[in-house]
Amino acid sequence: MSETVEISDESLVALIQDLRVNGRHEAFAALVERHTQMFFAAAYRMCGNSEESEDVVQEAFLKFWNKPQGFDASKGVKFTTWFYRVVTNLAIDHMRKKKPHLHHGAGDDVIAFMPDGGPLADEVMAQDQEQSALEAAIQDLPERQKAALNLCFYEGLSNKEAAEVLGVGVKALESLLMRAKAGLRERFDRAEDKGEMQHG
Amino acid sequence: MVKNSKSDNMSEQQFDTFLKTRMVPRAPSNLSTRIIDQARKDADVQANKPSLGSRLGQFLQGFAIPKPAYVLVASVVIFAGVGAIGIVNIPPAELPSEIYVMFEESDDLALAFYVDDIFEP
Repeated sequence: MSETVEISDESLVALIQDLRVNGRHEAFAALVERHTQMFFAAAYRMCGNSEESEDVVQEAFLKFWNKPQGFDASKGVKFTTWFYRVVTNLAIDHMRKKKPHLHHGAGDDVIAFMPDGGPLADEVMAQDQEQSALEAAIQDLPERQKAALNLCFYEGLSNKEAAEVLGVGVKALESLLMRAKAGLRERFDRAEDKGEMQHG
Repeated sequence: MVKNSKSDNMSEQQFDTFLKTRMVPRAPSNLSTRIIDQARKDADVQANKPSLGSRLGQFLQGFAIPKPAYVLVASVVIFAGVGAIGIVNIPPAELPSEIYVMFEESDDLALAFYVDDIFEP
């Protein structure tokens, strides 16, 4: 195990923020390697597209590298919580620049990883359709509802942390979550009606 | 007739469980490396950026003109000015030959004729 695994995110960030330190690039590298997958997943859950997600994550990390003082540890916020905000906002910006029809095919990146052929091909195909419908339904949600759902449901943030990321109060966040899940049920039902899913 | 959809038959808990089956692909294996390399390049660009002083020096260098041209311009200005106000009372026989020598060296005969005109009695 390398030494940097023992070092907390906040300590690595402090090294990066001290411009006089020679090892700040190594500290940055350790932080990137530790969190790339996690923030890629967060970006993917917002964008629904691998290429966009890669761009978002790269842009977020480089933004932090070029302006590390953007994170203020004295405010008592965890680095990951703060960085979720950076990634979420960048993902929303990217999506706003995209045309709506580019949301089609959301979930195709995941489908590509699924095995095809073999004795369980029917089950796998049913799973494909379910995943595709689920992803399409989530990507169809309004941005803030989607962000609330992603942060609380998939990233494991507490309501308070997710509210901080989105810059809203806890009550507002809970309202967003409730509307997101209700909206998903409705969209999921519509997708099922169109025959995009098979019943068990 | 009430339509039974998959989500209708699910309790809240079951629906949450279903939502959690959502899959996300893995990040490309070289994504971290690309980010780290780009950060290093950004740092190198920043380190090699010239200081304000040297950038100002480079800017002023753009206005520098070669020394022979300085001599030419200075000579024309001085002697044209002298001829115009008539301050210097130097015998034409002495002065023009020196000027002619200098201007011939620079191949600027047109300028030599002009200076000669000024000092015509």
